[in-house]
Amino acid sequence: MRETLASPFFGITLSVLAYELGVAIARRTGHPLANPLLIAIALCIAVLEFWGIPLSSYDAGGSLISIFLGPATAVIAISIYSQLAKLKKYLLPILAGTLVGSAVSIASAYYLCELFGLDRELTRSMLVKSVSTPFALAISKNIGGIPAVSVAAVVVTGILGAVAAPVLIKLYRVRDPVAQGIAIGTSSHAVGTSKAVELGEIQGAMSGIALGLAGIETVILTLLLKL
Amino acid sequence: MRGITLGSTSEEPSRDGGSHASESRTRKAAGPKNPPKLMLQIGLVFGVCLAGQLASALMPIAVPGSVLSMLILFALLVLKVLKVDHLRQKADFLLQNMAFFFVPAGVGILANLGAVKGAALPLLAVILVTSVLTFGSAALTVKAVMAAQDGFRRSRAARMRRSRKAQADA
Repeated sequence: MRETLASPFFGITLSVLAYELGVAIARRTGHPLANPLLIAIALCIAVLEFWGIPLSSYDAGGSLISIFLGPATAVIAISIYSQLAKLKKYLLPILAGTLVGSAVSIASAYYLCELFGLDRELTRSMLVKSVSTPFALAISKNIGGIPAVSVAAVVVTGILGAVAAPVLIKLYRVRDPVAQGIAIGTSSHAVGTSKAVELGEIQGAMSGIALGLAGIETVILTLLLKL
Repeated sequence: MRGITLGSTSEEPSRDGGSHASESRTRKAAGPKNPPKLMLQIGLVFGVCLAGQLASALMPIAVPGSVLSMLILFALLVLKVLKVDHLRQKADFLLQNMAFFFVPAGVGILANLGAVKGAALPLLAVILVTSVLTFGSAALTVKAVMAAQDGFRRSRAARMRRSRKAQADA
């Protein structure tokens, strides 16, 4: 039985079933917080914990799914290309939005961690929570954070961002699809972008641009802070 | 089988400006009647990702391979080396299922929980609050700069109209 569970088919089947169930629940309830990704992750974790299945068994299949994240991010280029006119027209607002958003992310994470009395290492790990994992890992190592904490913070930020995006759009009354996409990509990187893609092609394209820009801007901002 | 997400846009890429009208005609005329086989599309996308990984290894600062592959694919499209039709089926599959691909990353948090030193709750609070602030500041900045830009463009257009009118009057 243990050997069967260590086969890649286990992780893939579990993920697909959990996600499809999440999609069904999201469709049935229609609630924005009933997010298929969040439900799928919770179900998978529940199954692993309940039967005491090691994460490594799940990951034999899980890692095969994760491989598709690179190509999925790459093909956002097609959406961006289709929105070339918008990108040119709104280059300045896009640059300003991602830069201000990234700065607010770093500064607010720093001051809140201080407020909660978290130690130096944890605080530094949290500064990178709004950028995608490869950016976050590199920066976290560079500024003296704990890479594992950064990765967890990045993933949680992304999932929460994807779940909260429709709510935040209403809260801030953001009607413009360009502003929606930039805000999603800047605050919740690639996971948020998966939600932006569902909202529309403009949102998906802008979120894709924002995740790249915010990542690079965060690298530069943290380098400046270190000096 | 035409895709849903991208199908409509490449059919009418000129929604935002007249300058693209001629481009869309040439693209349609030159575009392949039969898009490449799915296997070839998969190969193309993975090849671009490989190039992105290579570029990432060569960069002086850490830029993820996926972001660089996005940049490379964008450049190939702008330079017209590749056409949207070449990748449509594969791209639709990837974009429509993007959220699903994040499931293992989320489950993987299990492995990192030990590292948070029992501060999971304050960290979660930090994430919640900063996310709301980051989203709002980015969205409001985009809106404000857009409004300023539109105002500037309008006043410039009005100035030009006035000066043209003055010339015509003279």
